[in-house]
Amino acid sequence: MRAQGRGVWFLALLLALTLGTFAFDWISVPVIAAMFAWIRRDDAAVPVLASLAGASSWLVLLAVQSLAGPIAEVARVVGEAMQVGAGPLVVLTIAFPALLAGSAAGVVRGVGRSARAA
Amino acid sequence: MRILTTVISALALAAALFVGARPMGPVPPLGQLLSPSTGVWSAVQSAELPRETLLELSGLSAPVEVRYDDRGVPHIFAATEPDAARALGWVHARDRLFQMELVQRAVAGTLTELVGARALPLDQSARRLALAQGAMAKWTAIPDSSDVKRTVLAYMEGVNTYIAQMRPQDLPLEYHLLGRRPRRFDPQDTYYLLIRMSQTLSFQQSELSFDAVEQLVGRAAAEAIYATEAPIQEPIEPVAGRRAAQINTAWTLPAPQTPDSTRVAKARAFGQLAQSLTRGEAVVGSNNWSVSPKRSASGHALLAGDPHLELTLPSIWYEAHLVVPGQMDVYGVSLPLSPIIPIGFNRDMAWTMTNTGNDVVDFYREVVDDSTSPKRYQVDGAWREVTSRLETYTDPSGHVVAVDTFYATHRGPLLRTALGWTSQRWTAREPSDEGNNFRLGMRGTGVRDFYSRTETYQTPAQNMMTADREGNIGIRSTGRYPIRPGSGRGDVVFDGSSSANDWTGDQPLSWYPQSINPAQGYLASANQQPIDPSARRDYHGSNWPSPWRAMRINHLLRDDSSVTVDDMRRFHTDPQSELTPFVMTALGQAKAAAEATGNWTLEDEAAYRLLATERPEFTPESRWAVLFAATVVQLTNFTWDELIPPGDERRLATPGQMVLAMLMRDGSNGWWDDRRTSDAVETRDAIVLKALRQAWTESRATYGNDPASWRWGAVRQINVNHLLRLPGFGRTGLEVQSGPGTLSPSESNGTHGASWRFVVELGPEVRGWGTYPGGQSGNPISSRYADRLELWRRGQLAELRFPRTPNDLLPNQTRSTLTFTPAGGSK
Repeated sequence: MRAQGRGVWFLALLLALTLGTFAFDWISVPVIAAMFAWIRRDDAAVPVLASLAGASSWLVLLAVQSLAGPIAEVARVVGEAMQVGAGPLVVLTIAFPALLAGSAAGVVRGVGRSARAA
Repeated sequence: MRILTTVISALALAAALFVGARPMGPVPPLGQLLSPSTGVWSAVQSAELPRETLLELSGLSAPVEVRYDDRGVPHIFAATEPDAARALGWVHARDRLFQMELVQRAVAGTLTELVGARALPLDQSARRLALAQGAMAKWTAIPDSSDVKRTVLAYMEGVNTYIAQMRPQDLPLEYHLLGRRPRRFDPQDTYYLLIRMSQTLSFQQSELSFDAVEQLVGRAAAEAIYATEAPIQEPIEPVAGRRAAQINTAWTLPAPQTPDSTRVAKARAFGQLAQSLTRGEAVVGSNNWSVSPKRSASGHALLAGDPHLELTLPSIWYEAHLVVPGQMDVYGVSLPLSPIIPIGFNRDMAWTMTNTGNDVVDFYREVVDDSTSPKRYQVDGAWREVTSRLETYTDPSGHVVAVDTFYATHRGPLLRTALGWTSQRWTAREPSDEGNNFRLGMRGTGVRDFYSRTETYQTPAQNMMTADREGNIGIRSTGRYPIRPGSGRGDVVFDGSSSANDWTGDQPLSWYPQSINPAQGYLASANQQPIDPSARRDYHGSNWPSPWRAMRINHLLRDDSSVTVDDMRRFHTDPQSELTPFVMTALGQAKAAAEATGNWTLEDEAAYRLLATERPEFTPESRWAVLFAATVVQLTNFTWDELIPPGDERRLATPGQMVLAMLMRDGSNGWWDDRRTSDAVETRDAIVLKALRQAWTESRATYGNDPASWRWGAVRQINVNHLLRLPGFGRTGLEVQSGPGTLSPSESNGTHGASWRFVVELGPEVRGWGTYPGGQSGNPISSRYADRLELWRRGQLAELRFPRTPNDLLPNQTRSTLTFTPAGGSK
């Protein structure tokens, strides 16, 4: 039951992060993750799940962009220009929302539990 | 533990927010950069042209139809010229927005605001030369009621409308990487572009490098090197009855003098000043030629254009076709930031340009009241006020990175050098309206009509080649040429304290080098001296480029009395150089001398045989070219040692190959002695042999012991870099058929060359073929970014579509349709 709840929560967060990034850009990621984390602040896995949802949401958006054009060429060109390479650029693109969402969720969960304990 | 976890999370969140929102050094804010919806990844959405687009465009008088053909060229059909310009501005901005901003900022000297302090030297150079002031002088001198001003205003409104309508995914990648947004453009920015072209093409400072050379080797030798009369003549204005280039056998290069320490110091100072005033560009020149119907296979006039410039991605050029029924129907290459098509053709005629190289810049040594911060300067014994301006450079954050004070006299910028205060006058900085000249020229109905429409054109002075459907061909070196006092020569630094040294007027049209329908049936220009001094002894400039390209194209046209369009195309990349016979003659003489003294080795024979027996062509597969080019480089190094200041490693100047070729006719000239060898006095034969041996040894060490494995294509390549030299955005290491002195010249760094090749046949229906090394789009993700590069590399041309109406472009020839309607209905 608990696992099923997590799954629904994760999918809802993934959807919210995807739509949030599309509508309000990257800054929506920590805000949405924080809101969702507050709901499940007693779940120790929230920061990890939020990180995964953050990474997944931007992966979904990259997949959507790939329907419009050669996304691999963007990775090659921009990766070379930034002198990091295509692969690391993709990893960075996925790691960034993961860090935003996971850390925001971690802060909210910590603050929420402290508030309850007080 | 819980608190520690929360603190770590908070720190991670703060760090992520910080790098997401703030730039770190050259890295822009990662949030904007990496966002899949609005960051770099979204560039895929704007990479290709949408099949059909309908947009409102304010200011239009009627709808405008834009059809992009299968080569990505927009054909713009409009009711009025301002409507066409407005649409072109929008179209330029969609494909080349970043390039447009970069050019504007390069002239304004505000690159630091875009890319930071690393651009400060470029900005300082632009502001020192007062380029922006020159552009503004041109713009403000144009009457508000003029057609050209209306056209430019409409164009820039089109550009700004595009910027206002841009979606995040339309932002060019360069802005993402810099973390910047595009600026709005001003109408005078078109004139920033024009003065930028003048700087590239007409800003020369031979006087200063002449002075450096004079200090090192003496006046007589310097005057011969910087000759006002080229010793090898194949002029632009044909000489009746002449069947080959003319060599001035009376020309000699006086032996170099030995400088004392004072002269060496002065030479260094002049050399540094000359270098500080240039943008460090290789000069590779341009070609154009035309053939009259009597010498063409089709019986129609033919014209070829081949401007050589820095090769970049995106390209400097943008192909476009503008149609305003009853007024204008012109196809050619435009320059983003401008509504004109400076090179192209219409239904009646075609035109193209090469640079004249005429002397239009003069320097004056000024007497000032304060050597540190001058407030007055002296003219005819009286003091005049120096004008000064404070220039502030800021970085992208708005922080001041430097402040300069620049001064000016009535002549132009007043520059402080190790030699004192020197002011500078340059035609390009003064009011003129090239925009209108080009605008009128685009409507030319024939050769003579074109020249009539461009009579007041001033800068950069251009050899305007034309051909028309009536079978006329013509050329005129059009520009503003100042009349100087005294001898009329401008290749000296004048005494600024006397107003008698100022320009006294401009040369009349009749003075311009020109020719229409010459008896020989063809015309050619390649930056060579325009008029043979034996025909007319006017001062046009000095230190003329070597005439190899001019000689070669004249040679090819003389030998072919039935020229086809494909011949014209082939000539563009002809692999031979007219320098070759000069070098081979000297090598033969060196061989004979060495054999006579028993100094000719088997290795020498192997090297010589390769050069003497293989085809003398700069093709990618050639091994002859590898050794020949290396020999010329070594010959240059060993010959001009006198131009290296004692104790230095670099030459202050390198005389042109024409001077070297002439010197090779004089076997015992004092210049052949290598001052670095104290135990011998070398002759030409010794230096030529030494150069051959060094070239042979180095080539084997570098390219392989067995010459069979050598390939010119592996040695000399073309590098088409991005405008910001961003890795991944350029295309480098391209093997092409070109070499030093060929019609498609290449320099050692491979960054300059043929920027647009085209051929036009002026038959009942005008037809054109062309290409340039790049593509129409400035988006590196686009299939139109570098799609023409391979065709260009192979020396091929594509047929240019020239529809009279939108429907003349067949569906399978149409890539995209863009329709603009007037915002709020027709005006």
